[in-house]
Amino acid sequence: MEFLLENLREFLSYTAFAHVTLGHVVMILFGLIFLYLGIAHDFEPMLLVPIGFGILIGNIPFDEGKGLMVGIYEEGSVLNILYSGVRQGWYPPLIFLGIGAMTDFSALISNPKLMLIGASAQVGIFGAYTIALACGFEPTQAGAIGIIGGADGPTAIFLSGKLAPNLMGAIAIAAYSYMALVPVIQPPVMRALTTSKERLIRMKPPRAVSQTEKIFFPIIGLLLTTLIVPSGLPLLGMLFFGNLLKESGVTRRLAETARGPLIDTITILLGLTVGASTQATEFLTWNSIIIFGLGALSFVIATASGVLFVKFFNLFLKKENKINPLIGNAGVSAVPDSARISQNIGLQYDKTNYLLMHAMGPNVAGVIGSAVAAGILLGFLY
Amino acid sequence: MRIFKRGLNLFLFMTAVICVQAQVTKLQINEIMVNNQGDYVDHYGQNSPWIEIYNNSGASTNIGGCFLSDDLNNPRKYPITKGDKNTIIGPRQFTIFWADNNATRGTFHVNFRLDPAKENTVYLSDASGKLIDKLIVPAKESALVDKSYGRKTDGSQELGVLAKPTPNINNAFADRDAANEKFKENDPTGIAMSVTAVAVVFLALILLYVCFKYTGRFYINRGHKKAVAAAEAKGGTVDQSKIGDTDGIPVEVCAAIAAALYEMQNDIHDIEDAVLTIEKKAVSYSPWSSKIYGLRQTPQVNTKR
Repeated sequence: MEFLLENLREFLSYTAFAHVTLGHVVMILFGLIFLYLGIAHDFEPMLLVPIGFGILIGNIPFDEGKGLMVGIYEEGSVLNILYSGVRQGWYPPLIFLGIGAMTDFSALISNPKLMLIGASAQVGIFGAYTIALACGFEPTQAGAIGIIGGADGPTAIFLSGKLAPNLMGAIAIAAYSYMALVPVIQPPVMRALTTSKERLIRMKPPRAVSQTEKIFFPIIGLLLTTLIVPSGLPLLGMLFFGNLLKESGVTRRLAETARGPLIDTITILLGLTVGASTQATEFLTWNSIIIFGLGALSFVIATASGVLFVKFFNLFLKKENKINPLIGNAGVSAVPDSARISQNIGLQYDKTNYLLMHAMGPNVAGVIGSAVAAGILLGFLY
Repeated sequence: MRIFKRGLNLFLFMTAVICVQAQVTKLQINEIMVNNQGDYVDHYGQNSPWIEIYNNSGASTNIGGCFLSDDLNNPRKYPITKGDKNTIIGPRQFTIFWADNNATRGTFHVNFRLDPAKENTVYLSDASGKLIDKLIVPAKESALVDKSYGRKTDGSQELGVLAKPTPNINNAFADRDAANEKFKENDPTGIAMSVTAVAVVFLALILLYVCFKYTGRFYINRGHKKAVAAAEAKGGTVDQSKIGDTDGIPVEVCAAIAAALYEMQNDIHDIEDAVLTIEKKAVSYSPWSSKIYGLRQTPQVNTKR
């Protein structure tokens, strides 16, 4: 009997209940909230469901001294091996390959001045960088935090993995959370910075773009951007390569794999392992809370700078070429959510003013812009 | 046949030798600290000068059998022990030799000592005595206390005093840290960095803008010319005011796409494609509920051969 009780006691010491802390409980609640937002409210479910479930996986406590080799930070464990794609930064470029293969740059090619809106919204990154420095972060950490304002999860993971690996969990969670919360963050800023007259501006319909132009775009885009910022090569190279697979018309199977099974697989692995990397002991710190605050601020700055830039740009444009400032918010990448926000807000003020096609231009320019910005930060700070 | 086999063996042997030789030539003297007063300590608790060797190849390389020396006239001064498993350097990895003139302390203690009072040169030679690499530490740099001299990044040709000694780790690590320090010192508010970076982002996208503005114009003009040529071939004329309209996507099409997306976004459409529906069928018999199809058939021994 004593033997059985002893075994039972030993078994109980193995269970998670014996090792649970308040931090674990808090993180599990976070995971459940993410799952709730993803499933019940349809907030970026492709991201929040894997991340939310990953948070649950990463916060089941266990006795690390027993050498079970199950934790994500234990060298050689299954989760650790899957996490290597995040740690060593090869998941994000593969995601970019898929994004390239599913992105239609026609809106941008037909109205190339929309590219400048994508550039202006990157001010959010550097605004957050300066504020993070003022909060006492190191320049490398501030750079990694600032990239949250790029509203691009893979870019945020790629850069933080290089510049501040210890902050990567918090940065990735903040980036994806705010991308999911774009419908909450952006509309008040857009309304506050535009007049009712500006919201009614109708833009010229985009022209039809020839297939040759679509093929030229990824080639010229790659050469022009990476010759200036070679450190952005992994992201930009894959983005434009994916787009060439799509537009060339002769690699249909490769394009379908890149935008289908490949990106789905990597999204699952990326979301799950990023979620699992937020172990309470690593994640629940003051720094994480500050990072969340700075992330929200960077989204606000990016949205505001995009909208204000359009207003400024309109001063130099003829009346028939004016741009509706409601598409300025789409300069933060968050494809296609921020473009949808432009469409929805536009429709609230004019039921027949469809801004989606126009907003897709700065939206995809924002993807390029944030990858270029990440390359610059990497080049300067790494 | 026998001659062929011998020839093949000889070829394989020679290839193997050449490969090993090729790997050895990828070894480089990466970093040297001459005046080690209080930095890296050896297993005997001594602060001695040290030499870092870097394997600049993608495969493990055995440095055993090679030679280290501080004398050009005697390149085989210190033979590195063969058969010591610790002399295998992993791909892009490092090993440290202590230049303490105390070779009896083990494979990694050489029989010469670097002198802080003069210029020091370290030579690395292969098993045949052929020079693989050398690194000269000038007299001024040799005298620096607890400072190492070497390649700015592992394996590069750019030499200098490193910001921090990095025995057994990447030399660039120190420089990365230095970049951090440099920005902290010169741009504590981050304004300069922000202005520069935003300017570069704008530059990259302005270049794309200019490029595609003119590419677009070219294609629009080409489209006009084609339209005019086609109209003239038919004996008619082209209404110049309508040319622009034919290039654009009709507003109705844009509206239809936007409306469809709007409906999709608001979940007005059906989402049945991922739902398994179980409805009672009007027909009472269905193979799905048939016992005949549900049971396994008794296996029968096949006697026909």
